[in-house]
Amino acid sequence: MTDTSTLDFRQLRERAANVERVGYGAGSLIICDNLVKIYKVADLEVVALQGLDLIVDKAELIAIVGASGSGKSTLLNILGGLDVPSAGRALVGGYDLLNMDAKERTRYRRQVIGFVWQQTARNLLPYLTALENIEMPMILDGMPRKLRQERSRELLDLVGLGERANHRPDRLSGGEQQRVAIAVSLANAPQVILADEPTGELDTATSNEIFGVLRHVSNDLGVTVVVVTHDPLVSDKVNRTIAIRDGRTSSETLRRTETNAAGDHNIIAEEFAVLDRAGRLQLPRDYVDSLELDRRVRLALEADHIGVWPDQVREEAATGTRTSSPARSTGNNHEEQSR
Amino acid sequence: MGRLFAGQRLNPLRRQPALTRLVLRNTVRPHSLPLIVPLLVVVALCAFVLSAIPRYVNFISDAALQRSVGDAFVQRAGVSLTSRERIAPRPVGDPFATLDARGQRYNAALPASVNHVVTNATWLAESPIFDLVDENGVSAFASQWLDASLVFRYEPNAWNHVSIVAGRSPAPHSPILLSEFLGEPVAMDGYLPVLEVALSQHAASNLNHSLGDRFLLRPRSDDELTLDIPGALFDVRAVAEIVAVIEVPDETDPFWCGDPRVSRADTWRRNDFLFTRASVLLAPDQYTDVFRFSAPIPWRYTWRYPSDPARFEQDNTDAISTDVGTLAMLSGTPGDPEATLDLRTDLPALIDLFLRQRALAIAILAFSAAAITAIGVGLVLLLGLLVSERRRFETRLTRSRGASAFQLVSARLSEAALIACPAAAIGLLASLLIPGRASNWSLALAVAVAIGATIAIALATVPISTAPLHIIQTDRPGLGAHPRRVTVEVATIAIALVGVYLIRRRGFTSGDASEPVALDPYVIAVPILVAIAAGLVLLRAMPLALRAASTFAAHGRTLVLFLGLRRASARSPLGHLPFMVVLAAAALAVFSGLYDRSIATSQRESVWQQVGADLRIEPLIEGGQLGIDESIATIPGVEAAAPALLTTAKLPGAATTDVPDIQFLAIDPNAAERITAASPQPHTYPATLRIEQFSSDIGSDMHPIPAVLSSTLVEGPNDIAVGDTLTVSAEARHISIIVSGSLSSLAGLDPDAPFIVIPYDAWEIATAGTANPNLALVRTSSDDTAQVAAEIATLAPDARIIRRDEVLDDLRGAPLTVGIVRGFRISALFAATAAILAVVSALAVSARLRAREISILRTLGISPRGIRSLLILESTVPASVAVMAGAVVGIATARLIAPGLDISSVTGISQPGTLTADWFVALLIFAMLITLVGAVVLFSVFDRRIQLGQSLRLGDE
Repeated sequence: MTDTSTLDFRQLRERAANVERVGYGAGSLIICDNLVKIYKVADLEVVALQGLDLIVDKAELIAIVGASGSGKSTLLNILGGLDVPSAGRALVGGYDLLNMDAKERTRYRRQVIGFVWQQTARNLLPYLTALENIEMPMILDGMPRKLRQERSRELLDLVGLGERANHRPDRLSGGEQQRVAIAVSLANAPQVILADEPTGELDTATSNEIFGVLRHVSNDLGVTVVVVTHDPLVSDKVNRTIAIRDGRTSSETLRRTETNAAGDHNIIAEEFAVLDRAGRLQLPRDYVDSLELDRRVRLALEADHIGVWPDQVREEAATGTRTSSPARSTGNNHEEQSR
Repeated sequence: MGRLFAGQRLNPLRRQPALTRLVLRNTVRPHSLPLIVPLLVVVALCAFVLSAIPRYVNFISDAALQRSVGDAFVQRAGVSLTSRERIAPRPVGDPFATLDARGQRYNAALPASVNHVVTNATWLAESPIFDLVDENGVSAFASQWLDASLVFRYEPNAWNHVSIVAGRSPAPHSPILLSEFLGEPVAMDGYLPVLEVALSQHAASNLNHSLGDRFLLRPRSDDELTLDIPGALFDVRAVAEIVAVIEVPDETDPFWCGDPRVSRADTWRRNDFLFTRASVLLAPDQYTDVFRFSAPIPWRYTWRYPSDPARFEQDNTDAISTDVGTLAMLSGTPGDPEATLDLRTDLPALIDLFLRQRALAIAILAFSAAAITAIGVGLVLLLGLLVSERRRFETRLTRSRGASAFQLVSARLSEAALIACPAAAIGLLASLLIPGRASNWSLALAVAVAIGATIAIALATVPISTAPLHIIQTDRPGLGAHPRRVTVEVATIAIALVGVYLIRRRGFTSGDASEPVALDPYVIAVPILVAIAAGLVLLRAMPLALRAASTFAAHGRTLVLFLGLRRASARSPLGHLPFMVVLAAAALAVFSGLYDRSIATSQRESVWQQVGADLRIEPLIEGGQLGIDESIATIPGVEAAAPALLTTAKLPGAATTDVPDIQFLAIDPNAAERITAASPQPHTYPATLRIEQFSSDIGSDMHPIPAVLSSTLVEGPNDIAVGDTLTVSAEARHISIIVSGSLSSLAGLDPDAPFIVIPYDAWEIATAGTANPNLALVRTSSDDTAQVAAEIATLAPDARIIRRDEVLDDLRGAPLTVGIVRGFRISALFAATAAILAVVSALAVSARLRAREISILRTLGISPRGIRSLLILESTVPASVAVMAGAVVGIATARLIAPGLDISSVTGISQPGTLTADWFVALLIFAMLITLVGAVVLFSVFDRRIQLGQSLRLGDE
């Protein structure tokens, strides 16, 4: 170990500045670390996010699923710069969402994020044509006229609506409106596109079209796409699905394609419980219910896993019998006995 | 994916036009028109009113000034310079031609401002006054209680403006001996010049002479021209012979400058003497004789510069008032060492009176303008907020795409300018239709309206452009109890209360009688501040009251009533803002209506006070006789008539040092009561005055005449009580009266002076039948007044007939009064329009949101009729509360500031007018309620049918 006793304060400070910091989610595009959001409704406080952790890398296409009231829309609003978290850390593309002033937040919404909402009518200004809707964010960003017109046409071609440039939204179908909405969200070349139920109002075929566009945007343009949905069909289309429950990430499902010896492509989906930085994880509801786990559990550290057992004290109290203890008890138990 | 665009971004200003173009697309959508059109209308109306007011003020001020000058006696409204000196007339030709040159020199020396308004300069020469005397030099008609005198008058071209109706033109006459004149020998005989004179028939009659008569003349000793002349020179000087009777075909001919003395002798009565003075004309070459025998008495030379009312404008009044004072510098003109010029003009007084009246008119019109502006600003702000609310979705979407608050507000600013500027221009152009001289203020105010409306509309977008996005996503930006907002509201209320206190103390105009009047904008704005303060209280209190009412209604069986009240109470603060505008509008309408009504009532009262009857007949000359009697009661159309005596009296035995001259009226009480029955100050007398037969010694100490005294006498320092017997001195007679009652005022008598009223019959007996009435009051049926007046005019050519309806029309038709009344009426009309616009606009904006809620109710089974009732109820209840609250504010504000707003100059009475809150105000409030309810009902009828399925799919928007 280096003897630092001879170093003065200045030198110690220099050494500290040169140390590489490898923090949580370093190198990722979206980092949510113990994110908390509390709403006050009348006299009630509602904790929408209760310490949510999330890491999303560049060019990923992920889905966030959860029941109504789980916090997924709140998360989306925070990531989109539409709302401010109450505590925790949220970094997107280097922007600290907790500590932005109004000017930074505007620049963030303009240059970093693209948004696609569920209702097709909410994505577009009804009195502008498709081309003008796409141009609008570029106007806000100060792009010169010639350049923005060129780019708008490029984006319309990208989403397959080059011939509908001068049509207003009321003359476009639902799917076409959503495609235009995607083009709008790409107007200022954002790093992230946030889509809130983008296919919620569309039929299956159109939904597939929309998702195809989003996948193309992610794969070919390198844009990170975060889709919030409760539709299992949608989550099946992405490589990574994050489930949110009670304001925290509860599980992640990773999908990969494997080719067997016969040359058949199989999609393998593996579900993982999410372990947050504090070491907490959410047990699946059906697991908890089947073992009637309640309030506290006993943990046992094995060579390659950690066992989770129901609470024995209650069980003994209920039956009057004592069962054998697990192979190895937790450190806490030892400390209790030694006292 | 890296940044696509790495080039130079356009600076924020250069980005703005493109964004503004996009925003303007929204402006012209049919969706936006229900709010954009009212904005255009309101801005145009405000600009029109504010631009028109300066022109209108010029119009009514010029008209008022011209009328004031035109109605004044011609010589009062002009300038006259009088010199007392001796200028020898030329023996031939124009005897006083040198006066013409002098007049032109004075004319050139007049200040430009005075020169601008005067015209047709003339001059005249007048000899000293000569008494008609006997051979002993004593007044010839002393025994007849007649004091007769004449003045020789020369006026260029006078003979061209008279006609000889009898006799011949005067010519030189040889002198005669005094003995020849008298027809008998005299001790000291001598030749006297004979002057052939021409005078009017009226003058001849008053001098007790006729055509062909001769009379002796002697200079009058109490003439101001003879003050420095030794007494020994006052002896018989000349003989005058009437050789021609002339008439003036047109007394109103501008040549005479309103001077009637050639047409009629100047006559007045003092004590029991009748004084009469005639102006007579001579042959041009006779003035030398008059000048010679009147030596060394100076003559009076007057240069007259009558004014032309049409040349007066309010802008030159200050210069005229200032410059008229410098005319006195004309005295002592070099070359006229003995001349002393006497300047006579009432122009400064006329102008001063006009300026005071104009100050009131301007104050009231400025108040109307300020009130209209305040309501206009409030309405523009409200409509702007409603537009922002209507565009909530677009604003939220644009902000989520990265629009900054600056970009949104700037785009709205450009949009607002494109709405406000053309509207203001239209208003300004429309104001050109208003009569009156142009004023720079019109353009300035129109520009101010355009700028103010632009800023107000843009400001209305600030809340939604700066509020956190997550708030505008779901909730409505509220006007909750934020400490800063509460502080501003409390401060507004406090400022309003302080303003009320100030205006009660200081009035609407600052300055005293000796200083120019000035307007204080703060106190003019006080009523507006009071309305805003009341609106703020209503904004906070109404939801609570409606909720309480809905709780009561919940116990009833009618769902619609409960739902309507609950929905009205649950309205967002923005939803209550239209009712704040309604309150302010109602306050303004009631305030204006109250003053309009009060002015009309006060004018009617003042005219009754002044005239006393439908017709008031007085002698043309002071002290003259009426020439009519009780027979006028038989004229068709006369319902009652009362000859009377009106004179002054004194109470010799009382402590009268503090009591002005007492008005003494002798009149038939029964007739007086009938004549004044419709008056606000009717004559009502106790029975003791209505005795049919008085004793022959009525008026003595044994039988005092029953009398009614004014309250000021009975309650004053003289310690007079009902039942007391007093001695009164009137018309050189002393009579005893017994106080039978007291009254505060009587129609036809000066309200500021005390009075004593006795029965005319008693007065006749007490004066042994020598009383001559000098006043007659007549009541006519309403359609016959003109005819009766014409009939009386033929019966009494020497009487002045005053018609009450003409006096009232004249008072009401005064330009400044018309301007003030119109100002109030336009304010009321604007207020009503603003209230309707506010309510209907709010309904239009909330239609979509309402559609979803109502669709849910319809799925639950409520009928379309129930829905319509719901809509009407939830709008009309708050609107009615706002109207009633506004009416209370309007009445309270009017009463509070009444002591500070003296309307007596337009009502014609000396006391500040009292406010009359009678059936008219109640009718006004009822009309406003009906209008608002009608507007809401109409809207509900024409509101498009809600498509249930479509509206339920709307989601948040």
